[in-house]
Amino acid sequence: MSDAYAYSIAEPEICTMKHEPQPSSDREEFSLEAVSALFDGEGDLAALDQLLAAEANSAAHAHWHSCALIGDALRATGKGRWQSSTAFLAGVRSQLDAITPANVQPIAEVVHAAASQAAANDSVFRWKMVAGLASLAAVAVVGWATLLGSGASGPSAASQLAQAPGAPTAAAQAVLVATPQGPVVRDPRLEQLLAEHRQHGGMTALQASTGFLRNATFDAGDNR
Amino acid sequence: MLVQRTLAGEQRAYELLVIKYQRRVERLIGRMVRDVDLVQDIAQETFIRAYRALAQFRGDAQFYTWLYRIAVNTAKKQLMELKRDPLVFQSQLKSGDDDETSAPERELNAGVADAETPDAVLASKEIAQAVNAAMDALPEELRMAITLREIEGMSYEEIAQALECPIGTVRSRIFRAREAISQRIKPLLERQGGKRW
Repeated sequence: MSDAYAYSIAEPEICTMKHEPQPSSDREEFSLEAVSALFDGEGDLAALDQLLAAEANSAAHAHWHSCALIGDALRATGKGRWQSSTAFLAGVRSQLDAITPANVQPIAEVVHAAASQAAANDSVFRWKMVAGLASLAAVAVVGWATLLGSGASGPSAASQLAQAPGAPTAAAQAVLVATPQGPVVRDPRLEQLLAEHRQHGGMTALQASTGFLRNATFDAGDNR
Repeated sequence: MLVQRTLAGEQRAYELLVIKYQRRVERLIGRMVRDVDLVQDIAQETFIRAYRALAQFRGDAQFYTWLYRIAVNTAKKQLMELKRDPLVFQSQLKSGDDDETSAPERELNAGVADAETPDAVLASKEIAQAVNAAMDALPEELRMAITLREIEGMSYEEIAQALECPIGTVRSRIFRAREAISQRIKPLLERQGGKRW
């Protein structure tokens, strides 16, 4: 760290000061100025390369430490407590070394992995075998039942459902019926639809007395 | 740039970020957790979690703003775990629920942990005094430049506009101000055993 402070502080420059390439310590001081700018996010790639290539105990790294300390000290107006960054960095570094690019993962996955807990019998292999066989048996039973059901009873329920609302059959033709009130079109599909509509609307499609009972039961339920 | 270099596999770039933000993160966590050792542990955990999730940082916000969220969440998680442990809950969890959503600026004026050692408090106090004394001794233009940068958080371009001088001059002034302050605190740091602060 002492290297960082080996540079003398020059007299304050005026606004028109220019940096001209100079040999010896001035050139290194210029690189420290680049480190200072880099710390503020105002540096360039060349300065960053220079800093990353420098040794950890170099003047450039020491200057980076100083920039951090001074900024923290200036911003902390109250009681301040500044831990040495050496030990802290060593602790972080030891953990970073264990993290390879392969196991760097999104933070949500990290949290999820930490939250999930292994089952108590996770290490016992026979339980996994039993669970696997049970799943296989369940799939086989369901498959067999489905196969038997579809083969024995003609058209399946699915095909019936597909037919019902769609293509009209020969029996489902509308007919004109003469009634005392005049001719009425009797369409079986239309009547079925109206019956379903009334049934789902809370009224029975059956006889009037049954409808009364249904309504009475319904009202009694509301008055509880 | 440091984030990109870290993602490219240069761990040293991330270490520079750790150095830069370590104390700010610690002070932030210190607002939620009073135990000094626990603050350190949570701060380390924060940086490790941030490292793992760095690919998710899209650069929309400043890196510290993003890091700040991770620090708060890590501290909250730690506090939740402490609540499950009644033996340590009373001693560790003194002010865990206050100011969880305070602005990042507030942590700068935060109170500090109760369990500090006297020499650490003294060293910190001396450093603060030395920095303030060095600031007072700075020429006006240097003091103004470093103040606008560190206290106000202005960019070099904004400082150049405010001070009506080229950006290169701003950059030079800030560097020289830092060097002057470093010279002032150098004896104090050496007295601490040559540790990097």
